[in-house]
Amino acid sequence: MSKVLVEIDWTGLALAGGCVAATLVIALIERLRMGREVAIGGIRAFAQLMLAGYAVGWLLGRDYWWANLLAVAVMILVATLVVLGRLRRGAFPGMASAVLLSVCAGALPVLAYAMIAVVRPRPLHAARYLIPIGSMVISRAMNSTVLVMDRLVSDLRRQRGRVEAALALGASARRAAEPFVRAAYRAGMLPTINTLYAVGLVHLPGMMTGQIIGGVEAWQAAKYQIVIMYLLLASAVLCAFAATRAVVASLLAGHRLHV
Amino acid sequence: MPLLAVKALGCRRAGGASVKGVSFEVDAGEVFALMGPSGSGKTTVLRTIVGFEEASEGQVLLENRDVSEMAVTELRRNVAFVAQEPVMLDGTVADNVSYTFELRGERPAEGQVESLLARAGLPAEFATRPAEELSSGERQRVAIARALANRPKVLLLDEPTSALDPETAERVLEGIRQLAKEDGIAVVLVTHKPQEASRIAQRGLALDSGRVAAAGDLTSLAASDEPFLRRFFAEDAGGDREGESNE
Repeated sequence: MSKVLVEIDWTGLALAGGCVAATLVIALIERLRMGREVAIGGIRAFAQLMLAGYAVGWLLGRDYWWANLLAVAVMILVATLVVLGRLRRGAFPGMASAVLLSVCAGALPVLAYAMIAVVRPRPLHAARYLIPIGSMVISRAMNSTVLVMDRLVSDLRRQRGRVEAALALGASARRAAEPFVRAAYRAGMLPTINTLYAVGLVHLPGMMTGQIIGGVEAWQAAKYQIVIMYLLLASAVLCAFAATRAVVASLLAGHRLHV
Repeated sequence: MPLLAVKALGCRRAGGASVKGVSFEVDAGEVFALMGPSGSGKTTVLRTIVGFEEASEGQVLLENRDVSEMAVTELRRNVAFVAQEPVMLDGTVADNVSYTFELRGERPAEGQVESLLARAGLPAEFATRPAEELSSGERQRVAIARALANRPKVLLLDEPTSALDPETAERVLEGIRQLAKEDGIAVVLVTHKPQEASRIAQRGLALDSGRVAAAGDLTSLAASDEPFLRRFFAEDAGGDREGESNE
């Protein structure tokens, strides 16, 4: 396999931008009223990725341990804000700390395990590994938190009578919420589990394709991808564990439904 | 010593009727009527007693023990609350009744589910029926049966006959009277129909906009000249009002 990476120059980037322009044209012709979203999305993606590319480049060049950890902390903070924005309509008391807890629970133990036990780079905080693996794990924790909390909060609100029927018979908060907690776990984990089934057959995921394009041997890229898939599974379940407990503790504090 | 004593109970409830200064006592084996028009706060009183709403003031004593010092699960096993429109859990009627046992880490003995159903006025054949397919009246009785599985000392019933035809309502009321008499359970019956209350209760109180309008012997309340009571009893005599929901 050739190890020479074909670099994308500015002309190539501009031509890729043609895809956004084509989308805009179709949106206008079909009167989809999506032009604004497409344009803003295209510009945001460009700006955010250029910035990320610059930041990661800076981190890779220096590899200060504090800067790498700070980058992870910033990603967790941004992920928390994104989740809070998406859950705005289903807000509940103590939501901000519950979301932060859930994202951290889904991301930090898995990331630490990956760096210390699985990948074992030297140094352990090496940005080349910490930042990409961290971003994938944090991103999964973010999505799982949204799915789990959204499902559980809306179920508890919709099924108030069912929850109170169980509470009235002497069920603890956790026991009364049990069927809905189970459904929330499924909602949070199914996308990850489905990917485990389809990966390699239907699509080659981003990290693997990235490594292949970057010149890494395909079987090595496959091993990395397997590691990532397993890490993401653990991230999803840890997230669901923390998120369901946080929601039940908040919405069923004192074994009473606060909705 | 009364089995249940409610003292100057108050609850400020967002999205429901608030109550203030509600006091009453119920003895073992007695049916006590908690009456009032729709939105007067009857349901709020029951929900506050079992801790579904937070009391803003006052006290609830069970056998002279302040319930705020009890574990909530212990309180709810001793003071059973059956909602106006009870929600059935998944599965059969037997699953619903067995659930109460499961919560205590037990399993019902042979024939125990059927015996509880019988006490709530349902034949044994109901045990295998899917709970979701039951009528409102049947659900009410299943809800009473699964509450009885905790051997409660107090039964709080929120408009148990509101969705029933007169004949079924009569049977349910008779069943409630027997539960109180034979098992020594203190029953608080919430109703907006004073005539119905008079059939099985001697004492009660009437709520008006969250405050106690009158309390005492139901016969004397019915004969009172107090304008609110006259209007309240006259409206019931003149025809059924709509049932109260989620006050």
